[in-house]
Amino acid sequence: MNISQKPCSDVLSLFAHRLPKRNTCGQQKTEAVAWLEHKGLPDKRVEQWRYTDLRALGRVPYKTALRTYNPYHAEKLLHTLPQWGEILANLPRFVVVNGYFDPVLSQIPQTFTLTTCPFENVSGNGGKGEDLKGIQQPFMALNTALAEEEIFLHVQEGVKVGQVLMVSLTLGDEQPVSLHPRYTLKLDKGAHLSLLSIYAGDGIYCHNPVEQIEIAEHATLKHLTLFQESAQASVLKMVQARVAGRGVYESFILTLGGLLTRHDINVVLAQTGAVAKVNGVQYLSDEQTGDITSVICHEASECISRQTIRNVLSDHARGVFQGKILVKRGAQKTDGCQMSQALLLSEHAEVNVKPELEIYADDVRCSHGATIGALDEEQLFYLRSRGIAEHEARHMLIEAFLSDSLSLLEEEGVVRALCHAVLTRSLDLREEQQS
Amino acid sequence: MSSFLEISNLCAQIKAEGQEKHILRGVTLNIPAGEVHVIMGPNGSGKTTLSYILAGRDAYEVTSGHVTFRGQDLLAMKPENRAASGLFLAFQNPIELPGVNNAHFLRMAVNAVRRQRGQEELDAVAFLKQARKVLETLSMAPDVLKRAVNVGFSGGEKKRNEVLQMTLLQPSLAILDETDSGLDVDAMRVVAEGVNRLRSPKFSALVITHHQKLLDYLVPDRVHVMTKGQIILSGGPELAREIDQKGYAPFVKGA
Repeated sequence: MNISQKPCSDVLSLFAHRLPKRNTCGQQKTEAVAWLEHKGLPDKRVEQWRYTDLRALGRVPYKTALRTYNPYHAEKLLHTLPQWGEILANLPRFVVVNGYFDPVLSQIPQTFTLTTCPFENVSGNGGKGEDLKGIQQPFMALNTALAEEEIFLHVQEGVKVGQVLMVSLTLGDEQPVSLHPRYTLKLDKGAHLSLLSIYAGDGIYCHNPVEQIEIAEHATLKHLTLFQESAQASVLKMVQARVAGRGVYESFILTLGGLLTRHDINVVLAQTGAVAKVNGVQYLSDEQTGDITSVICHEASECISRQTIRNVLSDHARGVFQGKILVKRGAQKTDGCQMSQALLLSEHAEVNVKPELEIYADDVRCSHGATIGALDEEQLFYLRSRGIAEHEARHMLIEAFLSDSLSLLEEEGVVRALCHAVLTRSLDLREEQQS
Repeated sequence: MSSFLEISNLCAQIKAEGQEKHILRGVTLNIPAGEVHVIMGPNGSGKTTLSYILAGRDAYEVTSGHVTFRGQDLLAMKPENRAASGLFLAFQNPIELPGVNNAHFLRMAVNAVRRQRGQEELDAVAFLKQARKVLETLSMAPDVLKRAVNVGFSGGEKKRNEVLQMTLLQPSLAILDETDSGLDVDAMRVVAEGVNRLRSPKFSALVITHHQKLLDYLVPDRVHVMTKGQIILSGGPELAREIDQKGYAPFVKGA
């Protein structure tokens, strides 16, 4: 138990030297710093962090990721993205480098506005500060304390934007850097946006973004996030989404890279008939950890939530899914469903699944389920009995499990093709390393 | 001259719940090239185990005996190499493979076998052409190629899918484990015709069945009765008719 005897503040010390002094910064930052100084960053004794060990963040304090960087380096990294030449480069896009919006690499269409401002001035962007009252999540607090820029994307009433690409590039230095960008996505009534976010980078860094999402009545946000971060990167991401009446929030997370990726997702279904789909696939190997922790809060009646998380884990990889469905009083006719499916490809791989239902209404339908297994021996034998060599048979079955999970992706075309390509490529690479 | 398939004194067991269960207790059987042999026997007599062991399923432990197939030690070979050297098992309960496209699976199998046999691989076009031709002879809808392997297939479709694979892989020894069970008369005839089409001096089959009906279409050279892990009686096609009328009881008693 020597893990848990370390003081809580240990991990915080990696960032402590950069925390602003209380009351010399704005009120939000002051509150966040106070919270951090009081609570520290969590270790495994904290229930929500039992399965994810933050010691993966290392021991060397993180420096600030720089706004000025080598443009060739960024451009080069951009071209390493999967299908960049064939598909991605043609999409309207905004590019964020080291946590700062880069207008040179971006191509913003007329259909939405994208603005940036220093973080302390965010109150001008529609009172989003309110959600931060009573911070309960440590990496929300860390982001608030250290965020320098807010990127604000706004789609106006009734506008259908179509597919947009967001790329986040982090150019790690010889010394570890950290970045804490703050994103706000606001969709007005009836607006429609399909966003494909790709997180990539190189070197050692800690990426701590916060996304605040507001979806108005009848608006739809489809958001696919592909994590292809550097193998030495840690990602501590927080999403807070609020969905109004008949609005739809559809999120799909695909985690491939990064040493440690923790995804905290809080969705509030605030008005009648709101819909949330939070699906994801974590395909991890070596010593990677991928953690999806979500709270879907049904505040109003007739809201629907769907979650399927798939983990495919080899070597010593670890997958975590902690999913909570909270049904508040009065949220009648709630329809909530949660599913976890894990494929363990090595005896050292590990998956931790914790479903949680908290229900205060009496006319609801909520369910959860979990399956965990290795590759099916009978299926393997069936393939081999048809002449297919064992490693090829394994490859086919893993590919089938992965590509089957893309059926959860309601996006067609570009996004699906990209995901398929990315999964197949990393499957080939990993199986090659095995043999 | 050594036989095509030679099983001698084969004993095998399975570990279930910590206990060893003897399933095969000395099976001896020879199948010459070009012959169709039938194994009949009550449930639980070890017929399916025998077929699995021949195909290379490693859930069973062979404790003694040996099997030679075309002069090679069959039990020392990997399942995929057995397939390449001409052995094919049509599963009693074909396995579902969610997410694996049937056409992709069939082509992978055909090319894997062709590679090992030193034949040129088929490209997608040549393969599809061949597959469609076979589909037609088996009265199968072309859309089975687009579906996931056996997923959502009816019992009959699954069995026909096995015959489709068998035809494409061109085995020299087919083991059909109750391929007729659960089929209506028309489907049974389609399956039997599928096997009959392969019959030649270079093709043998070991057919496991409970039904005389199949043998009306697929006339065997020899019939064997298996109980409690042993072959207790062998005879010509008339033995199957006799069993059909009298059941297994008189034969089992006589053993």
